[in-house]
Amino acid sequence: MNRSSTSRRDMLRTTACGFGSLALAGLCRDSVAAPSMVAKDPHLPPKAKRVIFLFMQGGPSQIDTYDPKPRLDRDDGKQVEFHVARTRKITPERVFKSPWRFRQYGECGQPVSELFPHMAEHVDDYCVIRSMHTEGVAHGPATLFLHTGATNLVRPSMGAWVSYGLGTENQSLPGFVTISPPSTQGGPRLYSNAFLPTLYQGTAIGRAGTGISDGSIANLRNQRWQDDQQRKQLAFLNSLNRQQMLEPDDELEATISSFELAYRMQSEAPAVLDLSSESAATMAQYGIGEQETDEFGRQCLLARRMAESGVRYIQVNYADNTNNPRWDQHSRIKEHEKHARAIDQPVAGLLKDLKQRGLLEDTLVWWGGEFGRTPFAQGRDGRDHNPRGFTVWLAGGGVKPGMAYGQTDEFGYEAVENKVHMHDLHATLLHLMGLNHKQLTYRYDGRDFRLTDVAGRVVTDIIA
Amino acid sequence: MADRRILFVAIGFAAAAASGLVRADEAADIEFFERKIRPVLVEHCYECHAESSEELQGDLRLDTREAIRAGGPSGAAVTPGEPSESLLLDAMRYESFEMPPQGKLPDNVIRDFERWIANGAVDPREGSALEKQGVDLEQGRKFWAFQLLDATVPQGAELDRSGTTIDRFIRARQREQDLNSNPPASPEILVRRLFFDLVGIPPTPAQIRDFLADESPDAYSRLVERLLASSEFGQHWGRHWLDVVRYSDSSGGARTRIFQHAWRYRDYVIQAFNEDRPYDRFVAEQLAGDLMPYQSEELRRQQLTATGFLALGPTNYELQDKELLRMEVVDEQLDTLGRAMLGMTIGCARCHDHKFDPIGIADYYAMAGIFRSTKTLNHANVSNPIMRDLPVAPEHQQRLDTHTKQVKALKTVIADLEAKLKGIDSQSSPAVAADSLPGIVVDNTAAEMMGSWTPSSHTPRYVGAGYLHDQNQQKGDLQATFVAQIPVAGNYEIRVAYSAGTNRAPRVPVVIQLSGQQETVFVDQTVAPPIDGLFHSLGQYQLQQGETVKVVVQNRGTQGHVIVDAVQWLNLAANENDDDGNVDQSASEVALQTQALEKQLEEHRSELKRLESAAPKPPDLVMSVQEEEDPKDAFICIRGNVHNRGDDVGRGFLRVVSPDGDWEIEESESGRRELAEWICSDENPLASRVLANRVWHHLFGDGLVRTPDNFGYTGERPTHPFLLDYLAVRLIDSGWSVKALVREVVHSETYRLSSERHVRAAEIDPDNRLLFRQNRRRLAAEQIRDAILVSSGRLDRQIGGPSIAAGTKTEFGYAFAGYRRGVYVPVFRSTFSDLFEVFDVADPNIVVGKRNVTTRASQALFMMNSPFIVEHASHLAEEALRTVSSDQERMKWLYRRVLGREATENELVETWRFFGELQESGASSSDSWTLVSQALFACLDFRYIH
Repeated sequence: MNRSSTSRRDMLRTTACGFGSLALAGLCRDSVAAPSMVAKDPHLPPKAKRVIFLFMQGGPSQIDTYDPKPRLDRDDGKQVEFHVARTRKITPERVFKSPWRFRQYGECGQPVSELFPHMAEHVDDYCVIRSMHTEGVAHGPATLFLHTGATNLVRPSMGAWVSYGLGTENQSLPGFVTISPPSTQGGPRLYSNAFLPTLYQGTAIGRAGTGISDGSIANLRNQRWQDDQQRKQLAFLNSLNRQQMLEPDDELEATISSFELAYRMQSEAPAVLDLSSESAATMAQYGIGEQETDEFGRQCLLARRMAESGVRYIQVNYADNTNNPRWDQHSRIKEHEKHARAIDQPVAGLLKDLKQRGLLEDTLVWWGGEFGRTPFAQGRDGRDHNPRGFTVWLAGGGVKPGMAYGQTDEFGYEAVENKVHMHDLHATLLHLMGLNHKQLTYRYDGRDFRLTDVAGRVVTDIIA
Repeated sequence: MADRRILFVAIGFAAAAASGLVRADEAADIEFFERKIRPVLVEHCYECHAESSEELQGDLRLDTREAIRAGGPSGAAVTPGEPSESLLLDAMRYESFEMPPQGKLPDNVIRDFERWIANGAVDPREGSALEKQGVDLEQGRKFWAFQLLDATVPQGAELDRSGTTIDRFIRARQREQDLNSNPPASPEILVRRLFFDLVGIPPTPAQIRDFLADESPDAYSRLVERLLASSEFGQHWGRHWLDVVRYSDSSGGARTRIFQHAWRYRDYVIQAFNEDRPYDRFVAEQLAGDLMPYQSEELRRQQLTATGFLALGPTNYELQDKELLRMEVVDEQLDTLGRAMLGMTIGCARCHDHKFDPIGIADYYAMAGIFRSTKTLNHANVSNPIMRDLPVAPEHQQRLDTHTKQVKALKTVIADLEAKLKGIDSQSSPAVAADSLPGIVVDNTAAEMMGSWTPSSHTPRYVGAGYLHDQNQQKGDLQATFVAQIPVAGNYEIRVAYSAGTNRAPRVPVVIQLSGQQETVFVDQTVAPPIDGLFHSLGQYQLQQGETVKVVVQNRGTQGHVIVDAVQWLNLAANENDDDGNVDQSASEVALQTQALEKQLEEHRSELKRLESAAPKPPDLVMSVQEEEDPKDAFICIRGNVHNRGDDVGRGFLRVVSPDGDWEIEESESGRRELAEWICSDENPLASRVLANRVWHHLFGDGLVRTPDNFGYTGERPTHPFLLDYLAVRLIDSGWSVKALVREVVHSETYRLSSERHVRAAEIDPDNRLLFRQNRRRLAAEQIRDAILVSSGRLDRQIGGPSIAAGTKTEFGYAFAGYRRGVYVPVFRSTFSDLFEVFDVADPNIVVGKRNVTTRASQALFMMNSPFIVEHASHLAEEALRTVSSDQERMKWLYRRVLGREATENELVETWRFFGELQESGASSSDSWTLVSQALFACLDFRYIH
């Protein structure tokens, strides 16, 4: 089979519109009819052009990573009363100190635990938010809330809102992709457009649990025809469609050009998805080739390639399909080490790479999970879910670097100072992308909906 | 802001001074307010809680005296003189609410507020409290959707052509524009349109030929009748309803679960449309089928199945706050019912009065009370939907009852036996001490072991600490040798002990070695040892004093576990034991008794097994609801928060369309029956209008109201209000017959117009609201799929029955296979088939009266690359090669088959050229025709109804 992608790209470049020698009216238009993916003007001057969201499924522990609490060492093993989120009762719980040591890093001197030796090197780029709080105590509701701003109702995902608000920069690629998304804990609802036009839904590349090397976009490759045959077929189809379109019509025009778009995507997306053109040094920087880091390294590298190619919202999922996902250490908190090793070098590699390429300035990187974990023990050596206080960090794209914002109480349990609700984080991220969260609305069944519902506050203190 | 405040202060003082009514201490209080209180309120509260707030939060204003004292939905913010009853203070202390949200104010500020309130909360700020808006029902009723039906036929509409009443309404509006509508569509186009609209699949070339050849004047009417009567009508129109009631085969959400029995509701809907069940009855069955009387099992089945409507929602069963979950389910039911049957966004009134429509929060909780009195879930950590048995024929029910009785009786007997055995077990130790036994007893612990035996004490009874077994392995390698030296000469019985069981070896070789003599006895260890349930006799032997006797238990040649426990040598002459050589009497009796009980138990158990395997078919299950034990009114949840309890509201319906308000809800019932009755009652014009509009929508691609699920203020207004009312009246007059309405609409000339662009109308009416032409419409996802299957000859026309592949545990990764019609493809909430997803299938999480129509690259990728398309293109090509004799004819045949029409001259030229190119490049005929067929599936005329 003659299926060299290079020759296809050449063909696209040398012929005006893709389908061989046929010059086709209207075929070179950038977009299909409204609703449209054409890049749109933002509400405000944007600080970031794109988002890379590194989703840490299951809820990494804040007090074992970025929010050290000496009180935990002092009171380790003691019974202290906490307002437990799950039971909604105040009960005595056993304080459980972090098994990991913290050290200060960088010029800013932010503490990072020994779980993340590589990520710690980039601490001067982080804006660490230690006062996050959110809705939902179970994974399902909290994960939906993280992605859609609602624990239960069917709402568009943040990436869909961003695509809707800003369109895409590359007509050959989707505006919103999610790499290796999980099929549980919300599944496709995590990248769904809900009531927004379908155009804005996220495109899944691969899925959690199967290696990203096998990941692709649905129906991107033809299993049956040679490229030459398919090109002839599309030219034929185009001639039929031109004849069948008896009168000018936007929708029919859009249908005709959708084939051209599809062919461009089929021609270009595989090259973006193909990591083999990356240098050995880059691969090593992401930890690709090392058993523990290979998978997430590939996902992160793919994210950079997507960012470079103009994808607006890229989510990278450190996730699986179980009911106790990834960072969900109800017992054996030491398992955090396994997960930390899997992501530490890849994330550090991504940040370094973005910086080297000058992409970090206008790329907003967001690291975090759906909630944090309790500073008190669950069972012998685990930690339970904690939506009342946890940590995320942002880097690049207009956030103040090298700062920590907000605080939890002295146990690291509950956000107490400069609290940032998940709605607030959403509002802030949209703001950085140049979107006013109160203006980014969509009228559905008689009501204007927004990502932040009736809440949300832009955290101006962290904006550079 | 600062200036205004100063001015306000000045006026405040001046007014006070001028009136002379202010006492000195009050003046001091005012000054305290102005210095300590007002600035804090202005700085920290007014952003969200004042008239000037961009967006008022929590329905609470703090910028006037009256407002701060009236407070919000939770109560008074300030109660003069009562700091403990002032929520403002609570909130500032971060005790109830946490205000201001940016951070707690300093303690001294909070103390100031405490002092201010304690001293009477003197507050000079004038102005009224937040207006309690309430809902103005009288005003609300003036809105078109709430007015009673008025089907005045426009006067003076001269019928220039033979038109139906519907056409008169349409032409009356067109005449305002002084334009005539398009000519009728060609019969070729009309037949395809009618097939897709009525039965969802295209006509075959033969059906088209027959219709075109039929020149009788009623040819069209007869075709309409045939399609209305076909079982495919319900498959197509049922699907429209399933969109509206967010039908799904799974729950969606985080741990989406499969609804194994949901298909019965789907089949119910299809059947209802096929039987043209009166819509008022259809509504009643779905809302209250479980409460309706029935004369036959069949009717009961139907009515129970219908209530799946209430149970099939996207429920998050794992939500831990069960009170919230209960309310979420009620909300989802109300919202679905509201949009589907009333075109009202009732859900908007969950937290506050509807912002646009005359639906108060009290209306919401009046209806919520009905569904709170209805049980939809059984709560557990992960809650469960209510599953109910469908009734069966009386004879079958009798068989089921008898069977249940038999099983129950048998189980009682078995339980008794088990209890008895357990009693015995607990009385008698499983172990028999070796020294309690007469004669010479050698336990396995004293035996000489060869090979690795496994110790156990699992199965009683045994001698000593336990016994050994060979794990049913290493056959031939293991043996155990028991040695005894005979103290006194005499006649001895030699016995071997083992614990019996069904997994034991039936032929265990035991070798007895005397001086110069050797004998092998085979022991069946599957049978309980006859002596005391402990020993099996190996025979009697004349033994000499001092003689060494060995007993060797081997596992060679055995099948099953070989047990080694103990060996006993008993001198019979010495009468060593008082009890006939046995262990003590009670133990022996116990053993016998145990054995007998075990035997009985075994028999009863196998009887139970037999009975259960011969059980009559269990009743079918449906997802349904039931009445709560104690139906009662609901309370308002303030701001929608289930833990924030407001006043109770009597159960009822939307007051704006039940002016008489004399609906009585049966005390002991939820009120669902009355609700259904009210929905289709004369005083509610919404149900008939909404349904008539849906029918119109499906036959024109757009409704007369273009927001079919929203007839409220934020929805669109009808383009032809009188026509809509006419259709609604016709619907009611026909006894709520959907088929009659469909029949009437498709007989109109307007329906039959050509969809070609109307050049002049396009300028003044680009959206074709006045219907100068029929709309060109893209096929729905199911229609695309079914049309491909009809074209490839692979459509499986099986009617009804389960769809999900047997053994499916989760929707994730589900392999959509098979060729049944689209309506029978499982609809999961998180996993869609490729084709359905890209072609905008209805999202089963929400009410969809009008599907999206998007145009996307992923649709093109599907048409270009999906194995499904290539497969069916290839089936089609094979049939063309098999049944048509020449390539020229094949070409024409394919157009007729796929597009239902003759190919145009140009199309033939292009096709021939493409085919030629492929042949030249060496493609096989089969591949070439497959490529052509695939392109036909992908072309515009396949995808659009003209």
